[in-house]
Amino acid sequence: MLLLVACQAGSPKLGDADEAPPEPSVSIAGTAAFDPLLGGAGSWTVASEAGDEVTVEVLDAGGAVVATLDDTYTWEGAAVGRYTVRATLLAKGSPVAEAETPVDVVRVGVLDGTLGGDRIPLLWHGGGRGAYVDDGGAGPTFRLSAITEGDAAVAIPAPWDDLWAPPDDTLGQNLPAAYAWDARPTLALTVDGELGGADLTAAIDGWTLTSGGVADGGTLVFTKDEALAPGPGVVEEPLTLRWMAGDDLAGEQALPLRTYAMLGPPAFEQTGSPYLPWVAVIDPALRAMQGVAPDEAAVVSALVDHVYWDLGLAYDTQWGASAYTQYTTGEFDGAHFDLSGFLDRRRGSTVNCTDCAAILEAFANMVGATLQYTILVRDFNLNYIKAVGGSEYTRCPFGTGGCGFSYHAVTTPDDAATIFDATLALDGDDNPSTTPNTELLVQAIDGEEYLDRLVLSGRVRYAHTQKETIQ
Amino acid sequence: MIGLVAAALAGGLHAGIPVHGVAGVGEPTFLTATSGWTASVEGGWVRVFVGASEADGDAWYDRAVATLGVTPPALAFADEAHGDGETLLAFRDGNVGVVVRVEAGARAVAERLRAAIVDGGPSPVTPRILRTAEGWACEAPGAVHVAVSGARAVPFRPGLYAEAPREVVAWDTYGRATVAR
Repeated sequence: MLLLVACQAGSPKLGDADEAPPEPSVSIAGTAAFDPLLGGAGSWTVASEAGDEVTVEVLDAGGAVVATLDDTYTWEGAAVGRYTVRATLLAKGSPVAEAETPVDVVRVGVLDGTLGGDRIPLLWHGGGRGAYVDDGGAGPTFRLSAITEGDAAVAIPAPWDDLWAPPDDTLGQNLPAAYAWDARPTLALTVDGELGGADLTAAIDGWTLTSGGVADGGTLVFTKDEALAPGPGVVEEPLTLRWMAGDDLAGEQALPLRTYAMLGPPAFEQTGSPYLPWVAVIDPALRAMQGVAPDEAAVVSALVDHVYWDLGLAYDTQWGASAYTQYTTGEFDGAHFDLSGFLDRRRGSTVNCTDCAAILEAFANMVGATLQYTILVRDFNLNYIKAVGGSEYTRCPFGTGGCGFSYHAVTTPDDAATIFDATLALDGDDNPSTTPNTELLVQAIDGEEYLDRLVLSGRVRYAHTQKETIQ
Repeated sequence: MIGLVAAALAGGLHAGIPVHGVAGVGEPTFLTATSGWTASVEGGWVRVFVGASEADGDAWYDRAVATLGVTPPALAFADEAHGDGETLLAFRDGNVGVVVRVEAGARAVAERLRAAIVDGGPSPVTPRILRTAEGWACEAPGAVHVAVSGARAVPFRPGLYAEAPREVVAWDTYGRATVAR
């Protein structure tokens, strides 16, 4: 808005326009609204003609001067309300022109936010013992009790970092959410504050405001412009919500969101709790596979790396006993994996093939890659292998008297046509029965090749192919 | 209840092994109704199963031994046993099966567990799945642990479900599991 007031008028004479002194004038333009608690500030440009100097003052609604601006013409604000910024052109100490523009000092923020779209429910296992809590795929992402505390804006809290248990109360917390990697999330934000007559809009880079407008109590819904991520991983790119008054920034606040980009929804046979992505599993697993291609083979291969190298596991070289998994029917059917116990390492880090297959299967199905366990039966001698946690290749993982497996559990997405195995590395050279050995992790290896490389002697076949249960 | 519990005789049908209070045995983790419970001990872990019949216990025991990576030798202990007695001792006493896997001293742990076997006592109570005003919940009087699976939980309301659980398993103080579906 521009108000131009000529205090000294005079009509130039015809024919001497070149000599006529310019008419004193002043104009002012700039910030229409800002929130000082969100880093906003008023800034104006002043133009004048004739006169000696310009003073710029800010007046409250009663006309009282609340600030006199220096020659940067900026103002850090005062209490919420509408103010007038007045520029006065002086000549010989007297005002000769004035211009005014209004400015709103506002208090604006978001009281809560909910990530929406095709969310995948997340589960916190609560340290096990059956105390599962899931977010239903629809819970609030963050909630604040107020946008202002004292004389400061309340920041949206950092994402909840406890991977085991959720907060007792979601108020004041910021929870992660999960999606398929190619989903386009929405983010609904409830606006709160004192906006007066300010006409604000809101923007987030990379997101489009698809519904709602900035008004006290209103809801803004943004939709992400592109896929959540190029593939599976953890997305923690800092978002900034910018409050705009026209083209000017009225304030900005950080939106520290954490989203898990999954290959897809969980691929367990069962649905519902606890057959959901466990935060304690997917957070480290997705971080470990960050950048991997969004296909099942690449994802499960990354998980083989994660289980074989990252989890601190060691093979039970005395008995090959399972610490965390049991077959519940028949001999090798109905594998049941105590994932809660495993995450806590309640029974240590010494495991066997049944455990490693169960871990890999659970992790894969949680991030959306279908995997089953299958059993190599039975009683066979080994070529060279390097068991998880081991440092050397051997044909006798149980010592000189134990050069074979009574059985071996692995995983497959396709009825043993393709094998993934996090228990051991094979000898990948042309002769796996002799040294030297070439490390070959079992990542999408053809089922027949796997047998050729693993088995020195014995009649071996794949059997009991099925999905596990977990707790 | 204590008065109803008698010291166990070898073999036959036992009430079970107390899930708390056996010296050196840590907090139990309850698995499935056909898997039993497990706990840490010094240098390793134990796994315990209480079958509804001796045949149940026998099937569990056979599976526990068969699914070791190395087939252990037989030992003279209880009704049947396998292991080296030092790092591994698996045994079955009637309907009760136990695996002890430790760095050392397996026999001592196995003997403590076997000595803790009790007979008699009340039968375990089967849990119930209840419809409530807010959704679904489970009731299992006297249970030391209840495991629910296949339910759609009410977000951030532990113990409350928007849909009925597929299965509820309740565990009593002797490690016996009862199932409601």
